[in-house]
Amino acid sequence: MKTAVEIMRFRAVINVLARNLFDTDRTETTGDYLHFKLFEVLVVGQTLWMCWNWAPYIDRLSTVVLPLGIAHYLDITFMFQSPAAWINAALITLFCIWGWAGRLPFNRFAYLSALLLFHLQYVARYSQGSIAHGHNYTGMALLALGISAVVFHTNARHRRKAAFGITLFFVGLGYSSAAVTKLAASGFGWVDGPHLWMWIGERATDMLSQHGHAQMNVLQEWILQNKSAATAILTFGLITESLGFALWFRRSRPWIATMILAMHLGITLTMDITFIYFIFIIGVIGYPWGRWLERFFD
Amino acid sequence: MNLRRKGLYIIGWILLLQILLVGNHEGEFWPFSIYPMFSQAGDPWTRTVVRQVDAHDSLKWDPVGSAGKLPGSVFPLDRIQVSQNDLADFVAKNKTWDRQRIEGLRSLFSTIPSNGGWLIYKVNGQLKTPRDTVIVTYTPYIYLNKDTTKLSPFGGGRSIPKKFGMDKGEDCPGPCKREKFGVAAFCLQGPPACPLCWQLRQVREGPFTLWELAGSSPLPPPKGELFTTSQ
Repeated sequence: MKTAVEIMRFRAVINVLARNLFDTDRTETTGDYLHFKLFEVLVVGQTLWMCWNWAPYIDRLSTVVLPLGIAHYLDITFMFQSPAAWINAALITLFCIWGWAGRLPFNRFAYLSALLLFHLQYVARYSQGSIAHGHNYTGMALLALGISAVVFHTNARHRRKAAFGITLFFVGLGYSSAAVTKLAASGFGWVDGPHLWMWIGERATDMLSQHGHAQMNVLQEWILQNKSAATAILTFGLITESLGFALWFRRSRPWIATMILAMHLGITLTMDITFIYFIFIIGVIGYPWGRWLERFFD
Repeated sequence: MNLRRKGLYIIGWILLLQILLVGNHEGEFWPFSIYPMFSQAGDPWTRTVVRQVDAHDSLKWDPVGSAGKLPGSVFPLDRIQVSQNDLADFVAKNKTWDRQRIEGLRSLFSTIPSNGGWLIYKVNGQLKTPRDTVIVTYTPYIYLNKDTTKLSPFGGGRSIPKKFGMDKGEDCPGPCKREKFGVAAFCLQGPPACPLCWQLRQVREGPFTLWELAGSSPLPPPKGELFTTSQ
C-alpha cells in the first residue's frame, strides 16, 4: 500500500514536471510560435557564428594536445591546415538551412546532422588543451531541436514544445550540475572570498597575455580589499547555480533566469569572462515571451 | 504516445546517453558536460605570458616575481590572433615536447617576423594562507626565434604545491623538520622546501629545483607579488 502511494506521488511529480516543461495544459498561441522561432533563430545563428569563426583558427592548428569527444577515436588532424574546417562550416550551414526550411525532404534529420558536424568542429577547435563550456548550451539546444524534429516530424506543434522543454531541462540541469561539482570538489568552503581573488589574479594574467595590458575595474579593486564582499558574491553564485533546476517550472522560471543573468553579469564584471551565448539562451528561454507578445498584440 | 510521455522518454534517453558519455570521458563529451569550471577553488593555477626579447639579450632562465621585472617587451597574443587559453593549456598540459609539438607551437608565431625572439613564461598563481595573499611567479619556459627553439633546462617550473612552501619563521615541512627557519622558501619539485632539505635533494636527484634556478645563492627564490600585471 505504501509503495503504491509512493509510485502515485512519483507519477504526480513527473506529471507536474512534464506539464511545466512542455506546456501540455496550454494551447499554442501566435506569441508562443514567435517565441519558438526566436529561439530557433538564436540557436541556428549561434551555431553558424561559432562554426564560421572557428574555421580560420582550426586552419592554423597542426597537432592535437587534448583529444575531446570523437577525437578520442578519430584522428582529426585532417581538419588542420586544410580546407576541411571551411567545408565543414559550409555543410553545417547547409544542414541548418535545410532544418529551418521545414518542408524539404528528409529535413527532420537536418539539425541532428548539423550537430554531428558541429561536434567535429568543436573538438577540432578545442584540441589545444583548453576546454570551453560557453558553447555547450547551444549544442544542447541544437540537439533538442534535432531530436524533436525526428520524433515529432508529423506534429509541428509538439515538435516546438518538445524542443523548448528539452532545452529547459538540460540548461537547468547544467547549472545545478555546476553547483554539485563545486561542492564535490571544494565543499562549502568554495565560497571563501580569497578564491575569487585567485580567479581575478588568473584573469588579470590572461588579459595581460592576450591584450598586453590589464587594468582592474572599480569592482575588482573593491573585492580585492574586501573579503566579505568576495565571499558574498561567491555565495550568491553558488546559490543561483544550485537553483538552476528551478528553470523547469513555469512559476519560478523568470525569477531564476533573472538570478542567472545577474550572476553572469557578476562574472563579467569580476572575472572578465562573458558567457555571451549562455546569456542570450537564458534571456530567450527563461521568460514567457510568448505570453508577453500576446498581451502586447491584444 | 502523447507529447508528455514522448517528451519525458526523450529526456530520459538523452540523460542516459549523457551519463554514459561523460562518465567514460572525464566529464566532457561536447555538448554534454558536468560543468566543472571553477570547481577547484584555491588550487594553484598556471597561465602563460609571452615577452618579445632582443637577439642580443642573454637568455636567462631565472624566475621573477613581478611582471614589471620581466625582460624585453610585452607581446600580446592578439597580434598573432591566438587565444591565451589555448597557449596556456598547450604549454601546461603538454607532457612531451616532440618535433611535432614544437612545430605546432612555432606555427602559432610564424605569422609575425621578428628580429629577436619570444620568451614564453609560465605564470604560477598560488594562494598563501593564513594571510590570504595571492602570489604570482613568472618562470621562463620556452624561447623561440626564427630558427631556434630552446626549452628551459630546468623544466620551466611546475605549479607550486602550496603545502611545500614556507614563510620566514615557519617550521620546515620537509624531512629536516628544522624549526623557525630563517628564510622564506619553496621548491618547485615538491618537498623538501628549506635549504637544508634542498641540499639533501640535490645529492639524491640532481639540481632540478627552483633554488638552483636562482643561482644556488643563499637567498630565497623570488616570492612574487600580488597582481603586478601592469606594464
